[in-house]
Amino acid sequence: MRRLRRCLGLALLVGVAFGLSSCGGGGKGASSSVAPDCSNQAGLITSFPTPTGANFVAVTIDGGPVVSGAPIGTINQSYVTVTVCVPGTTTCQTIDHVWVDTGSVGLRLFSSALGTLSLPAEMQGLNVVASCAQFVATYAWGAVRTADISIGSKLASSVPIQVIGDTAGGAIPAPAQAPSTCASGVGGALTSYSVPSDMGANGLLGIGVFLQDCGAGCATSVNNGFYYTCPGGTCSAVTMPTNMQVQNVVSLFPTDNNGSLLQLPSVPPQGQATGSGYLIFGINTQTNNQLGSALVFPADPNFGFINTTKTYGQASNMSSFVDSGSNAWFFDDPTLTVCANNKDFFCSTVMLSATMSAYQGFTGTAPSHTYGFCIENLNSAFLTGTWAFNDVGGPGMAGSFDWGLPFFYGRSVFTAIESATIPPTPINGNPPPFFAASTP
Amino acid sequence: MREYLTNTNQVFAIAWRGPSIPDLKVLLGTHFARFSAAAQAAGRARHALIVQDPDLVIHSGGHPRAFSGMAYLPQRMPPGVTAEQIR
Repeated sequence: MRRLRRCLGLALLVGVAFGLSSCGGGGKGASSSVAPDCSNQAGLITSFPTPTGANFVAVTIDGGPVVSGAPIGTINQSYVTVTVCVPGTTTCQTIDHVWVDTGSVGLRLFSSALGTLSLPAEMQGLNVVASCAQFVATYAWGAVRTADISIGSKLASSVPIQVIGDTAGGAIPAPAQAPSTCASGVGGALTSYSVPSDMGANGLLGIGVFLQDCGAGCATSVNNGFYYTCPGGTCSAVTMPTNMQVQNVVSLFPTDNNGSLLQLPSVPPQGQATGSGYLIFGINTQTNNQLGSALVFPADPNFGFINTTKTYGQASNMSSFVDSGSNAWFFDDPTLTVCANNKDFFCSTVMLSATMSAYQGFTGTAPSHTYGFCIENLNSAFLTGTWAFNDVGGPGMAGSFDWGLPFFYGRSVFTAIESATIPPTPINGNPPPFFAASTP
Repeated sequence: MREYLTNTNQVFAIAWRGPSIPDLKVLLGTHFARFSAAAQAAGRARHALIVQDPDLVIHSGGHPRAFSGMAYLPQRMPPGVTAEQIR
């Protein structure tokens, strides 16, 4: 009933572009036995207790930073507050609405969010180190600087971070003049993250499965796509030792540094205005971050991918990932209808399921688990000021299943960092990198 | 990075997987314009870019350090080859 009302409202709001047929339940490709009723979220966790201890920070899902009186975020962006300080000092800036991203590594803050805080630039020889972070449609370009980072009660000292849009006083170019291999990593197609409204956040807290944003490849390979220096205004790709690369802040906490746990309570079908939860640091290091009965899915040591098998349609999706920084379920399914006026999302309503498992090529013993989920026609959500949805999806890449933020609602989802130790040793016999998640 | 050739040595598909995005302007040649248009039209939180036309299919996605994608020309696919084999 509620769904129907939403659909009727949509038809009225956006006119004839959407037929009511797109509002029907079921649909092509629906899985039979394990698919949930969208209104029945049995087993999903509706409320997590406030963690005890000093290893967590509150998470919010809302409209993001407010600029000129209006929120600049989009749906399903989860945020924390981060404090950055000049190393070894109490000269600090607290920055709200930093986007939590288990799909990338490193803290990247917009230059404007730092205000007047002057962090020391990281130098390679006489040159400021410039960082490029490519995303699928965008890139972030700016100087690497060093900061003490506080998140909740955890402190990491002298951490290389990226300051997006920071030219370090002209030592490196502005984003619009970034090297073609960064700005035009796809030959000119990428657009720049230049100001917070481009990202819907004041920065990005990448807490993925790796220690650095690039890793050993950038320490040995010059044309790595990540690091540059720009003497005389001309940028050249450079190698960068791993300890000078943009770092996973979690891995540099003195304790509770082997990974993290996101606990976001479930949200009802068709969303709720805002969401909240906790980002807890460490895995099996405190009573509040125990794996318990969560299932451990080993991730590819090179790419961080896991495997996903859909229980319908295309069988294998070896380039899959668990990504709080994706704001929907993104997957390839030609049977679903892409919204005519927003091709980022599906305008179908359907109940589906997909099976998460260890990365393709993993030779040990690891579980697989089938998670049910709903996709609903939520195009009108963008008109309502509702920010937290577990049932919004969009077209993704063939061979990939992106377990975005909707997957996190109602579950404990762990991200374990490469090379780290998960006590007690070994855990399930499978070391990091891995993702782990509660069931159902 | 893989190229798929017909028995007359014509490229009908490519696929890539790696830590950064390859220069698709070089790889896609004249087909790049449609990919670029899709990228410019995408929201900035996108984690996949899709071109799905009758004569050209391009999928690009992933996240930092783990990008992958594929492109193929449906009308030049040899008999028996399916899109799922382009990886």
